[in-house]
Amino acid sequence: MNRPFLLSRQLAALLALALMTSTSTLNLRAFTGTVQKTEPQNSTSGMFTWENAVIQIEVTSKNYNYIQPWERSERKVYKSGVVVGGHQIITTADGLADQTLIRLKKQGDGLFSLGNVVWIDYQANLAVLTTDEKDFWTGLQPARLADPVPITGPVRILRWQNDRLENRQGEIDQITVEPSALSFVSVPVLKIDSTIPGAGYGEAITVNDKLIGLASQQDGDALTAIPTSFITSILQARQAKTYTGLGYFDFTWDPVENPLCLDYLKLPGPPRGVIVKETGLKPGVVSPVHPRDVILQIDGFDIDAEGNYRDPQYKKLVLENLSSRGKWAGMDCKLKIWRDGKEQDILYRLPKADYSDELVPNQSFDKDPEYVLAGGLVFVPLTEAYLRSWGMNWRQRAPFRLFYYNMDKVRPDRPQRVVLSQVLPSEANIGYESMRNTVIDEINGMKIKQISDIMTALKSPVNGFDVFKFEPGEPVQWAVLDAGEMDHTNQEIMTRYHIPADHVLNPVVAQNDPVKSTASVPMTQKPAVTHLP
Amino acid sequence: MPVPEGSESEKSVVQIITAFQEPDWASPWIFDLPRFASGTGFLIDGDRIMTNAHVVAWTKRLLVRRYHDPTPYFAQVEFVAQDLDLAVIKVEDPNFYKGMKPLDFGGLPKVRSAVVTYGFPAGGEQISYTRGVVSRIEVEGYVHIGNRAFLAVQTDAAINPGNSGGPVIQDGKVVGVAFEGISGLQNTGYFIPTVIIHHFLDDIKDGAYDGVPEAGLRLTALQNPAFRRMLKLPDDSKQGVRVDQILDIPTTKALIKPNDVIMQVGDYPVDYDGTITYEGNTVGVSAAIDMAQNNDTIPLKIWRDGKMIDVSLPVKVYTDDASQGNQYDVLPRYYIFGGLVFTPLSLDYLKTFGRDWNDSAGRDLIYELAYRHLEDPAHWRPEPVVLASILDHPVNANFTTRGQTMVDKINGIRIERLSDVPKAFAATKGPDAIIEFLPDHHFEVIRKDDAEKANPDILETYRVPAQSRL
Repeated sequence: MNRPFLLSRQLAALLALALMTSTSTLNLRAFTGTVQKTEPQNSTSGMFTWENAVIQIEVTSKNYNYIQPWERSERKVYKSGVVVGGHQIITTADGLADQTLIRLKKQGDGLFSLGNVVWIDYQANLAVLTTDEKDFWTGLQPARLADPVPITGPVRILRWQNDRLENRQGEIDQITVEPSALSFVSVPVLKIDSTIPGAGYGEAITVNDKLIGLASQQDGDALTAIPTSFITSILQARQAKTYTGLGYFDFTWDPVENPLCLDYLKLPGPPRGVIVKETGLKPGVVSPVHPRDVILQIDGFDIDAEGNYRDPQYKKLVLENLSSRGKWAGMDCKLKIWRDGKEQDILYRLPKADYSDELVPNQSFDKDPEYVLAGGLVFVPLTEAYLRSWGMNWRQRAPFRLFYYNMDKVRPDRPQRVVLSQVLPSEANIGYESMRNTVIDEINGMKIKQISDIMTALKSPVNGFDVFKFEPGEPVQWAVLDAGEMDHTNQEIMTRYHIPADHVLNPVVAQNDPVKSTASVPMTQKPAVTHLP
Repeated sequence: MPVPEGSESEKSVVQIITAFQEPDWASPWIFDLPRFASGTGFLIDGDRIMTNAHVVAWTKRLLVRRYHDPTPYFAQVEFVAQDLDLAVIKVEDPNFYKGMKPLDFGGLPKVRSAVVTYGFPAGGEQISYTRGVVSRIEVEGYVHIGNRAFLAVQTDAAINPGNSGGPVIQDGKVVGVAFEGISGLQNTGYFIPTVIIHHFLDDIKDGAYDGVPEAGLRLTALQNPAFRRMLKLPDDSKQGVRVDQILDIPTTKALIKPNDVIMQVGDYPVDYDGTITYEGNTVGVSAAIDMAQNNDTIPLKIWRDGKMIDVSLPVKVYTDDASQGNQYDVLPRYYIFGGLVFTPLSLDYLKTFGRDWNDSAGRDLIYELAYRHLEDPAHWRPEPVVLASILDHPVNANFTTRGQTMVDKINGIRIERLSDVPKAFAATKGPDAIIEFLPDHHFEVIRKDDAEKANPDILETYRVPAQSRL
């Protein structure tokens, strides 16, 4: 079972450790977990045991090198899922991107079945898996999902380790609202204190015979889980074909600590509501709320001066939760606002969360990394995946300006930043070899708004030369290559540096429609790979 | 160790002990504890002692100790060049100069030739000599000011703290002033060559130090054959450095264009790798440009549009970027209103965030200081202002922000420099002043009358001697 496999460079250190262990199943995030034999919690009833509901999932996926985007290696992760009936397993979306093989293992029985993705939503960090192997379902029992979930008390955290169901203790700290593990959209999360090592990969969070959440992230002893009440609401909407993806409030706001600010806005009465700061950050969407509006109420819930509302189930929660409390992208929220010295009722249509809403997308799934090679100059779109190439401390180590753009906003004239990541040295590009991580501004007089523009710009050389102009303030602003030699140079560099294609570009997704643009990425999206003749 | 350079020189080398005190750039009325540091100096013509600017920066008292003389002599700074890290100081007591001979200056030493540094490293009271060879001569960053680079000589002679300001001697003559090293790199010390020292001494002849003028040219080697063909340079030419970018200096912008090729600076032909030959050494072309004094005109031969032209480029000292470098001897400015402490954004201010200010100071503040003028000149401000801190008082107790944030507008007036702040508060219409911040457009409101009433109380409480230093 312990098959040799390729791992990314980042995991190379772990590999050394992994090969020294002789466990048949390796959880790459958890080598050190002590294994306990599980006592089924309601074994006395003889009906349901978690061993029949928790599934181990092995995912092999493509691992990209964003600095050398034509390179690809293999990555393997182990995670957990839970059977929910209808021959379906729910799990988190994390780790399923760019997958090449999914294998499922039940009841610690040592045999794997081939799995496949029925549905995945990276923004919500949820996925439904299944298998076509009919025998797999024999003996399995669907878990019951709690709704609402408890917000205090002990929990058990379950996952398969070495073919035994590991059962760890945890304690619910609170339910709160924070950005989803793979998105900028805020969703409800359970915070759980637990000493379980290496968790956050779909482990089942249970109370007695009910599932209350799936673990999604871990920071020390603080485990984050997606509550089943949120999962259920999405699964039900999906079944009813009303789920359109997560929407969000596309504005930022300030709590009102300084009552003089409300005085200034002429809001009478005690401090309440929050003051809108920035709006309409999503490209192509006109925001119905304006800066300095005071948000007083959302869907009938009063908003207090700290930005919280009183949730019927979970008490005090921050207002962002109302953008996904049974509402999805494209649906309307009723807002009561204070504007121009009077109360107004407006409808707020929730825009759909898209990774391209950000100038530097913080995630990219099921897409080959894009690049364009031009005479040894390697151009890539600026993404957070690219910045993360600087390792664990990428926020400190990545070039300052590239990191700065990570908090900059999309503008219609600048949907993307395109970076010269490196120059592959050849005779033609002598003098430019030290250029790297500089943002391109124009090629042949044409503004480069997104990476695909490079292909267009290179079709119109200036007097036989390709003229590259980088952002002002870069160490070098200009570079010139002979346009007539470009194809020949590219061919030579591809041979010399073992590069299969001179460019990889993904189809452009329409940005203007807040609902129709796809956040739930089709698993089969094929990048356009062009080989030179 | 034998000292072949003769024991006469050492009599002209002195130890300088400074007591200095630096201001706190986040609370500009507060000063650090006085501290002591020692450096080296040497006598030159005119009863002057030459040393480094960083030896005398922020000094409150300067002591000079002579070779084999127990008397401490008090000294005063006469001229200081923060950009060149050079200073001359004077001792009032005429007895000090008895028996001392000024040292003479030599030229640029050859690479691989031997030099001896004289100094008082690590604060020792005995003079120390270290011998080494010249390893390289290059344009290097001058770390005292932080945002300037000039010609410097690298040697493997040990240059340690305390050596700073000491002479580097060859054939009995001073060929440089020891000034910096690279921490963690052994046997890598740098000294300031005499071409730079003479620039300083020539500059102060008129009784004031102006500084090295800034031509405002970012130059890049031009070896790429396609680029050379596009600029119509002759195939066999190996000359010329390309103008890549031009600073916002009107005289330069009027005369020079991007992608001009500078073929010659003064008498120095420029090779296409961006170098000139100066006294037998290959050095960066900027060394030739930096020879000019303030208000000089530099004769340039420029290749433009396929032909050679002559351009006389007038150059001036440029101080618009002072806040991007380290500043000395001028107290930081501030303005306080209702406990809100406003100060200009500067590198010195960012350094108050601690050793890792690159991480801890906001990205937007660093971008504003270092990149905004280059990338986004439409939104650039000559002197961005930050709300550095808030001196707590009931009048500001409800503020959400607690400082360390950039000010956009006050009462709708865009704040372009510190002096705009008191003007904007004075322009308050109605009872409240509105302060808007960047980058996220947060705003705060303070009641003007209450703030004005609170001002004296706040200044008294926190022992701030004045409401402003503008």
